[in-house]
Amino acid sequence: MRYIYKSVFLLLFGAFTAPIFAQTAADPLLGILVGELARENATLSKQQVAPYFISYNLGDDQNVTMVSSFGALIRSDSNRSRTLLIDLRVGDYKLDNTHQIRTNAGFFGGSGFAGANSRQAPIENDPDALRIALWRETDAAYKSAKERLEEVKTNRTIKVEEEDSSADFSRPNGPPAILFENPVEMNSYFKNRSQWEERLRKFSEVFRGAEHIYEAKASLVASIVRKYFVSTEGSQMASNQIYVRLMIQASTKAADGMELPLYKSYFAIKPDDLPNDEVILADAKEMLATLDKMRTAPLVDPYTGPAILSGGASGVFFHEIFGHRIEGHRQKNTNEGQTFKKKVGEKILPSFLSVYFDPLQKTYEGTQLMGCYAFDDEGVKARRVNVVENGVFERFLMGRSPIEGFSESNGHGRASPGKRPVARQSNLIVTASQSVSEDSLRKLLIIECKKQNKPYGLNFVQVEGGFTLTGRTIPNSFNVLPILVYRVYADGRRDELVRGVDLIGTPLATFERILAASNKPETFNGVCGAESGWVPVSASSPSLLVREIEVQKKEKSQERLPILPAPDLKDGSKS
Amino acid sequence: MKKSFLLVVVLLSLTQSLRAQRISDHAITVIDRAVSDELERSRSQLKLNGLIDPFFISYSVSDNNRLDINASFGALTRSSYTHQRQLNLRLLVNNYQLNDENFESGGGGIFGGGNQIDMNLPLDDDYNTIRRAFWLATDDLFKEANETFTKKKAALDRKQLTDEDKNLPDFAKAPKVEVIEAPTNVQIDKAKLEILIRDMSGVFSKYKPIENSNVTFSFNNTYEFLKNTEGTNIRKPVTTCDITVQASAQAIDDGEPLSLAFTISASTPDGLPERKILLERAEKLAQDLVLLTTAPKFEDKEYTGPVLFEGDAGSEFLSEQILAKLSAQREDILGGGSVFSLVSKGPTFQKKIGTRVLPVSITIHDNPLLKSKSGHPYLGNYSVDEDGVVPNDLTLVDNGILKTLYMTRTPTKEVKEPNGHNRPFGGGIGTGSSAGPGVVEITDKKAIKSSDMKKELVKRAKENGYDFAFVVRSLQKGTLLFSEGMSNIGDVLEGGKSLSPALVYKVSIKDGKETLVRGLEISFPTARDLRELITSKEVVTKDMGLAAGSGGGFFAFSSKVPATLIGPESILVPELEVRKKKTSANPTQPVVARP
Repeated sequence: MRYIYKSVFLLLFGAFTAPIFAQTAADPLLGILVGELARENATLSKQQVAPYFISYNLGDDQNVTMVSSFGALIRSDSNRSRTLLIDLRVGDYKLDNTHQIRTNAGFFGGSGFAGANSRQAPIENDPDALRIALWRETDAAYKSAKERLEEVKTNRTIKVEEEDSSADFSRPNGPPAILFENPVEMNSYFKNRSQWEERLRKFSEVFRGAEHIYEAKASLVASIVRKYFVSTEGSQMASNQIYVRLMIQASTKAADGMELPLYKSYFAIKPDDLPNDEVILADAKEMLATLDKMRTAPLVDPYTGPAILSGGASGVFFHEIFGHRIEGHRQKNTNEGQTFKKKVGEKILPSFLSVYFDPLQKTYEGTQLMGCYAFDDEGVKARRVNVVENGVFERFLMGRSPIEGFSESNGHGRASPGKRPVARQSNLIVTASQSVSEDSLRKLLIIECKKQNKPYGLNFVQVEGGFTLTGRTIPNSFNVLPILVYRVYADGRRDELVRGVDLIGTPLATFERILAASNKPETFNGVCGAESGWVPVSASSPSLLVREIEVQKKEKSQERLPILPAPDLKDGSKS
Repeated sequence: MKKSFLLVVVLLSLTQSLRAQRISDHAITVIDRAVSDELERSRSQLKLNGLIDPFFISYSVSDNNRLDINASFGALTRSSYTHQRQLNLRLLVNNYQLNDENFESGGGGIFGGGNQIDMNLPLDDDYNTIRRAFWLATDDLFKEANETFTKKKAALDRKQLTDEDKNLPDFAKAPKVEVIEAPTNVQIDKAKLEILIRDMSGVFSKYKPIENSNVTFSFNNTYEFLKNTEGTNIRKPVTTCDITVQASAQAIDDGEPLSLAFTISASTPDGLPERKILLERAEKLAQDLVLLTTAPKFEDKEYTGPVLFEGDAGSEFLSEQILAKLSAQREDILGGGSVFSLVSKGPTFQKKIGTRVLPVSITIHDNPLLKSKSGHPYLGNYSVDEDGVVPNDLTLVDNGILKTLYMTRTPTKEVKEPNGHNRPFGGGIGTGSSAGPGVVEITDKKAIKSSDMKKELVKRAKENGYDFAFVVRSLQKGTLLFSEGMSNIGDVLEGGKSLSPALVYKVSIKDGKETLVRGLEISFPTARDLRELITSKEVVTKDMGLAAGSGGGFFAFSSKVPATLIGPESILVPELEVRKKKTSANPTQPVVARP
């Protein structure tokens, strides 16, 4: 049986090596990876404990980072690095060296997740130097895989039977990844650096001399990550993940010491697609005006009642409290909260809402989406995944780590260079089969206030994604931080900005209380960080009306305001 | 056609790689004015009812240009140029005698440490933004210093202290100093340096037993500004340049992880040895490592007898075993120190002032004002230290008797006055500083000729009944094995207990024949051993990172300061213990052959 499998594999391998050599002129690296993998596997496959799978993930990361503060450049640099990650598995698909070793989870989690071997690789295409690096890391990966498989087996013997008996690695469910995109050099992608430096100065200069603004930065990151992926299953891929992100951030402090930050970020695939200066400067000026209002805005009172989450806020909301909890591999790790594990087939949202993830969708309602890719970082073809259909939870986001009831990947195994891929989000899109205009949604909020006998409802205009804790030992509550919230009065008074809003309650309960959606979706593009590193993602949603949301006063810093005034207040400016 | 294309490429790379790394005069003026004005405003206006006023504030700015080039087996793994500006400030409340320093309140994390703040400053010569950065940092620090001071006073009230402890001042006064030096103007040819580093790393490609190796180059060109409320005003350049070569392999018969390394330091790339010599040194290291893979293990009985430290091992021995013990460290009288301070404590000479620590023939001077001997400036030369104190010719050990210690402005029970030896670690910026050497000279009136050193070694070994003796030529191991699966973590930890030499030769008494051996460790010299050293007449002058603070052990790598050592080429320790190294299980050999 084993013999037959191998010969099939070799045939496949032979068939797919051919196209690559045509590309070596443009980029010899892929050929070097393919060649060394074949050489290593030829010997390793003859060992008594032979790997059943090896892949090389090599990330070639070029980036430019620029930061300005109050009109002066504080950083402008570029970097290039290559990180190699080897996934080498011994055992078999059912049980291999990556299997979780169960420990008594202490503070440091002790998730027992198998570490992967990641290492800096040469940034030049010198075949010998690259081969030596690959050889050394493959050897290290092989040895530690063998050792860990023994530990896995012992751990299985001494611990109780596992809750989830699914396999450790899914068999390929499609053809291997064959893709070659031409390399992109930073110099040709991101031109006119000095012009960009000048623009960044201009953006943060808006805050210069403004009293009570303690931090004001404009930053830009241009990133080209060229991802190489080759595996013993025949995958041969070189693809580019490219984006440029511009961000404006500023903060003030209220008289009671509460820090009040605001952010605005812009994403684009090409630098030219970023908004022009007028738009950004107008946004910065608006931010400055809002901060000034926030500083003297009243503190929120503890409140339970109806609220609107803007499209952007809803997107972050879904990304953080829903998206991270339906990442497949979390349903298996016994230290995880597993909020949705037993919810498949159940109604978790009102029936007019659906949620899907689609890495192939490039735009939504005219906005570019950042979570796009053709193949994921495990060489699995990207596809649309409908996770909630008409309010019913259907399925998880899957990498190649199977869970009970879901044995196959759906193309969401993602990672940044050097990290082992796990199930991660791509482009999240919340759709509503019934919707109303933004204006009507606001009217519905007021009607709901009156019905509940509340003097006002809340309008969450901007929320910031917090860090996401999905662990079992950590309270499974919100981790989104509202930063721009208004009171909408039922009696028709003007909306009033409030500060210090902290969301409490449980995410699932909030989902059930969604009453209506608007017909104007918003997209939030961002970079999401988790155990497999930073990956670009997007979240799109219409504004949502929620029947009941619970907030309390945020804990604030006890630091008082600076004793001396800023040295560069308009009159004090000398330069 | 092809030729003209090549020409264009060459021209392009030339213009990109040649850069003058010098801060502009305009930048100097703007930074200087911003720092002065904000310092003056803080000094005169930073007060708040209920808070204790600052009595000392110092502001410093480091304008740092840094070039890093790394390569492995003939290919670059990194090549980056960075320019950054960082501010550093120190603010003390109450008075010199009793203030918020020398107290670890537990808030400082595992690195404990005083109340100093580092942060990035604008790269633009922007007066307002520089002042703004100092303004917020000073405000934070002022509040924090008050908090710390309150906690410290509470802790003092709870403890019963001796009068000596109680009366020990927290901060020493220093005279106002004005030193203005021009920035160092160095032309850097990045492309040429890349070729050099790539070629040095390429040497290792042809030696098949070598599993890993890398060559790292870094050049820091820093211009420092320092001003304080005592009126001190300093501007000076600090430049350091290092090349480190390391390689690792496994012993053929038992898989013992082996590694060798060397570091060459200078003030600027021009001060490095020429290309031919650097390539030869890399080649020599590769050859030694290959020989080591087949070298026999030390299997004899334990040896207690003379050991000769030569070449790199000679200066490493002096650095770690003698100079490191000359840096004063303030004792934590209130207890509750950080993890870092626990680890870094080792035996020093601190309690031995006035007593003999070395042979009566040995004297140690340190004069950082010495500029150079043969054209190349000494790495350890400086006119004023990190505290703004001017050093002078310091006699640390006089005819074997310990006279004083390297001091910062933090008084210790043993020495209360600063002597201009607060030195920056590494040479980068924001890496901290410590009491440490500058240009140190070790002289021995009874030194003997190098050629007689080996005779002496043989004679003494024979007297102890051995038919062999040991010569150590390198004590520096690489960190490659360490990062790769931590296989020699044991070694590193053991480093706190014994010397783990990298290159040791067993010398036959009969015919003087040398055999490379591995798998042994050497006991640290005791206070008695150090009083009986024999040194060579031949003297070497070496720019190197010298250990500052109690040496050896886990954190040794992080506590080197740029210095120059003028001292004996070799050192004979009459009696050390050499024993078989305790080894944990060795890793197996690679399964697949090296490509």
